[in-house]
Amino acid sequence: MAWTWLGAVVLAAVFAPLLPLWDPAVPDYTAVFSGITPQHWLGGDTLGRDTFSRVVYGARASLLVGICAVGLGALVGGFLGMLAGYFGGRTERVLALVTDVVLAFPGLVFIIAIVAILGSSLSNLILGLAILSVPTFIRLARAATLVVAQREFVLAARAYGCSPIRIITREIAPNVVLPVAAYGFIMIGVFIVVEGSLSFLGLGIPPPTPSWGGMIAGGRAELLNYPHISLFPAAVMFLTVLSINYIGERTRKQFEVKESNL
Amino acid sequence: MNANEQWRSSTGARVLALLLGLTVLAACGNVGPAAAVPAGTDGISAVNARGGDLAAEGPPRSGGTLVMGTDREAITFDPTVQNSNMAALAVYDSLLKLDDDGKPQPYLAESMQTTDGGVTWRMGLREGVVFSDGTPLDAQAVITNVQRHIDKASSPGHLYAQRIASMRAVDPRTVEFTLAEPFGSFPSVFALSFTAGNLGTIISPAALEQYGDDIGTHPVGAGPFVLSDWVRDSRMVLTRNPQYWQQGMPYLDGLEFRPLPDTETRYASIENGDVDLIFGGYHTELLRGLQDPNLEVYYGPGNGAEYLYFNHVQAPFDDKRMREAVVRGINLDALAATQFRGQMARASNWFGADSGYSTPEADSAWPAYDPERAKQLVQEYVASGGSATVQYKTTNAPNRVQFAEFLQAQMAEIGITLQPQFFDLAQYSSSVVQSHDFQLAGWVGGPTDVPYPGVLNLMHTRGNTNYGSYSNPEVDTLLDQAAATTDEAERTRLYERVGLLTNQDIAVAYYSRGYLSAVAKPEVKGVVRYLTRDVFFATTWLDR
Repeated sequence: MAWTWLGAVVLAAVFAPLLPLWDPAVPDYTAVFSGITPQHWLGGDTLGRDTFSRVVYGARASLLVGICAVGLGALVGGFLGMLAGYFGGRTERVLALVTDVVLAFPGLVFIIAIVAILGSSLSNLILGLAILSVPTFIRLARAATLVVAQREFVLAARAYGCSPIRIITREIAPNVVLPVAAYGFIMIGVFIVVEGSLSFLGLGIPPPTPSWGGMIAGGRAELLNYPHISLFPAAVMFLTVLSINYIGERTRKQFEVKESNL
Repeated sequence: MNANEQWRSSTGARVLALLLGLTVLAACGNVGPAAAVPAGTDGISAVNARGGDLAAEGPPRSGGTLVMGTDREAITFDPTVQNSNMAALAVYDSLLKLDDDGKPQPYLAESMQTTDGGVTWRMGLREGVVFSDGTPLDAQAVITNVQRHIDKASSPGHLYAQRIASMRAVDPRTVEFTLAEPFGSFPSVFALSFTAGNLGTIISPAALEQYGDDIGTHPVGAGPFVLSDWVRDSRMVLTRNPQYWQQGMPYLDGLEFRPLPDTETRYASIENGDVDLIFGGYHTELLRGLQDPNLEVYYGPGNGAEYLYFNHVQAPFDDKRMREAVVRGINLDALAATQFRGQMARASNWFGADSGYSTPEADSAWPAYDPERAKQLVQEYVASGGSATVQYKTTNAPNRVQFAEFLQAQMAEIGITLQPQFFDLAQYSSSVVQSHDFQLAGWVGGPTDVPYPGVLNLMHTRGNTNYGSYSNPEVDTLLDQAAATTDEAERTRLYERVGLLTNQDIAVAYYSRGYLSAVAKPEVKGVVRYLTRDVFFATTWLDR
């Protein structure tokens, strides 16, 4: 069920421009606050824009933020973590220091600073979230590397005269990638929620690009009279994040089993 | 695992079917933007604008405490510090008071006259008026208080107080003001709302001496009530002034103000009867009050408006074509439907329709909604080398964000790419509007009772709220003349011309009037108020 929902959301997001939907940015002033109608399946928002279309297009923004931020964070963090774990010593100490500094910095303040300096846009948001996620990936990758680096095949590769880069990319990375990916998957869900919170605070993706958080925030003033404006995007976000968490948990458990078997 | 796999694939098929089904449905649906806007969206107009019909409400009853909810906590009772304080006039009264036509009439003072066409003014004071501490309200008390506005540049009244060249007490009951130049609107400045800066709110000189800078929390005035208890952010209690100058008044034993800054909470308080009256700041309260048969609403659209500031010294709005395009591009029906629940008090002139200063000429000079013409103007501007990408700055309040998204969609239709930027209120007023750092900026103003000083501040080249640097020498002259003249008919003619010229220039983009209101239980009687929400509580009584 989780896979189905997620698949549908991803498919809809990818193929949104091909689907016969309303333009998510163009208001239909006859549909302001409208409920479910044959024209507007999930009703219209405060400007009369089609909620269904905006939910679909909002999925693009939300998924893009989640996947790109996590991807970037995992790539950078994973690589640095492997370096720290493999080389140890000074490299590890410097990276540990950087990690501690970033982790000690309040995330929201950091994002507000990024938005204030660089302006609010999709790419800046992704950049900010990626930087925030790097330390966790460093720690995760480092821990996994420490275990793997002591194994016989790494020793064999080293004895064979392989360069450290080759050892890291060919021998260690394939074993580190699984726990990092499993964690990253859960982080996608977390970041979708974070993007929602930021949009709610007005720090997210600038209008008219729809995002789930922005849509929920947009209906806030009318929550008492027209709850559906916020409710539909909230429900979609809830189901999506739930699916991602569920799948993430499942994969993580599978890897745990595999590793203990090794 | 195996069963799970099977189940998964079957739901996969189901989803595919669902998607296909939806696609078909969508294809059948009416897909594409629709331009139509539901009809019947029209305005809110004045209701009990300057208070209730006192004669029709019957003989007043004495007693009771009026409990009120305010939209913000007052900062101080010091008239030289700008703040919104609904209790200030209850403590001070006002030397002059605007009547139903917005003309200043003697109230706490007995008379106000000029002897030489607006340079020398004589104010007569009533016999036997004393402050609540027993000090007499005499000419010297008035001079001491006005002098505070002259000395303090940050006072909201400084703008007009500085036009006073000298003051003297002719006798204990007569003050003579000599001005630097003729100033026919001078009486008005003793009758303005407390927030705008009212020179007519007089503090006991003895109290000023005693409390010094603490006068803001220890006010002593000659008004109908006396401040007896003030717990900040909780409640402010005022009790009847037994020495009040108007015989038999006030009718109420006391007043209580409770700051209820959250709009929903405030409205809930009047709905469930916790308070007798709320001071509403927003359209939603006004509209809900109007729709509730169990509540009485006090509102007048007055002068001033919600509008967009154009920056007249920066591209693209230094070009009139682009200003006209913006105004022509805003569909007011759609605006009313999306932002005002179909109930908007429209504005197309700074001067309100019932102000006596608006004219059909000025109204017809205002560009009407015409997206085709707007598109054409934008194209012309772009063809002449301009850019149609505009930054729109506004605050991050949810309703302002909504408005920005609306405006963005409207501008997109006429070919202007609008990039909204949101700021918190403090940052917005200091680093955006006051720094003139914008192309297009949102603003919420009005209602105000009288043109002076609001229109001068907004439209004069040196006006202190002319954030868009609008400048028209003829308008400057007209505004100066209108402030100077003592001839009402002449002033009306001058303001009418200001309305016409500023509309022709499209100085700012009006769309709606302001929505400051009061919503009260029907048993609240004898309300006498300004459109700015200030209430004179002497005549107020409770029918219960």
